[in-house]
Amino acid sequence: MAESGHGWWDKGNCSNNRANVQNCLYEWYTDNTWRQKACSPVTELNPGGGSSNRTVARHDCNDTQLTSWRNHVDVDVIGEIDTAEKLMNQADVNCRVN
Amino acid sequence: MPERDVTAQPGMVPADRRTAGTMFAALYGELVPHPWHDPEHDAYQLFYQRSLAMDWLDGTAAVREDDPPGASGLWGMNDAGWNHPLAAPRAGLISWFQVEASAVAGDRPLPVQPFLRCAMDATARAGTPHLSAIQILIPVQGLDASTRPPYAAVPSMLTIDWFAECDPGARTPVEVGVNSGRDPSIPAVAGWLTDRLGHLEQDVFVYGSHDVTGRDDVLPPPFDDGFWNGPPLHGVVLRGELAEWSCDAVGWLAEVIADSAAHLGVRSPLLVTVTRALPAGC
Repeated sequence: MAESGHGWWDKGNCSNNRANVQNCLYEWYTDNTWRQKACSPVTELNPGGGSSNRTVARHDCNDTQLTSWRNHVDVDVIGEIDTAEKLMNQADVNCRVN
Repeated sequence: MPERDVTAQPGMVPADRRTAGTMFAALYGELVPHPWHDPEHDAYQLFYQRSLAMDWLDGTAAVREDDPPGASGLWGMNDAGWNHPLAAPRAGLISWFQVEASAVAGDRPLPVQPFLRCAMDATARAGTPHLSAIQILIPVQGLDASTRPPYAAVPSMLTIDWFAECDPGARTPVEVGVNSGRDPSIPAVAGWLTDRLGHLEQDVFVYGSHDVTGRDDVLPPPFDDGFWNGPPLHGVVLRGELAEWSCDAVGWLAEVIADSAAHLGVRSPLLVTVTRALPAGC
């Protein structure tokens, strides 16, 4: 079993059609920190989130205890100034990485 | 940067918004691809966008750190595909979908009907499906039967008239495998479960007979045993007739089985496999 997360982007009001995208998985710890466990490679993608236009971060689970995870997606549209925020998705998943 | 506690352990965010658990659907049969189908539009993208369009997608977590919460929905997207490395050879898997079901309201069922509708819509966007079996992992552990109000002890009973207008000729014999994995609870409550199904005032599924099943009787699901308390050691097969061979009817039946099992004290995920007993007709 593995924990995985995807990353992609939608064009919105951007002018350009290419962006560098990376997503990373973070596991919650009892000291209230989110610790990075895996990242996808930074990949240049077209918008839309189709099969050849997604990144994937993956980490094998050590056991199936319910654990909080976040998937952060960082998008840098090529040739455009963008803001620094990262899209974040949070879920409790039966996967724990020690 | 905050200092890290070396004794800290992985865990769950306190007071976090809880979910019901993982739902997984696998569709089996034959898929004749549309001539115009572009592989770029894969099961993941189609399912995600259909979920978003129909307002079924839970967007509460998809926020920039300081944004207001997004829409709450029925599930969060996990993964999907047309084929799977763990699919049983020659089983005829044509698509699969995995989501995290949101916590359900007291008078609502687990959203198996919309989940299968979305799975079917996504599959039918890529080709023409001819389904022989539908397999669903249902997070019964996410149901609390004690919170059901009297008018919705089995919430799916509030929607049976949707099926009252089915073509009477569409009734289809089916076998319904219900398996609790390593937990022996389903064979232990099988008699009560079939009694409950038989006594509900509905004919969406007309129960006929049942038998206890072993591991070899179960279509192996396309996921790891650790994912759901597998392998499928303890189960029953129910034989009966569905109002129609459709994802709607299968989803409705799965919802009723989930609530009935929860009322009987089952607390484990259930693997439900509904197989069409006779060749095509509707």
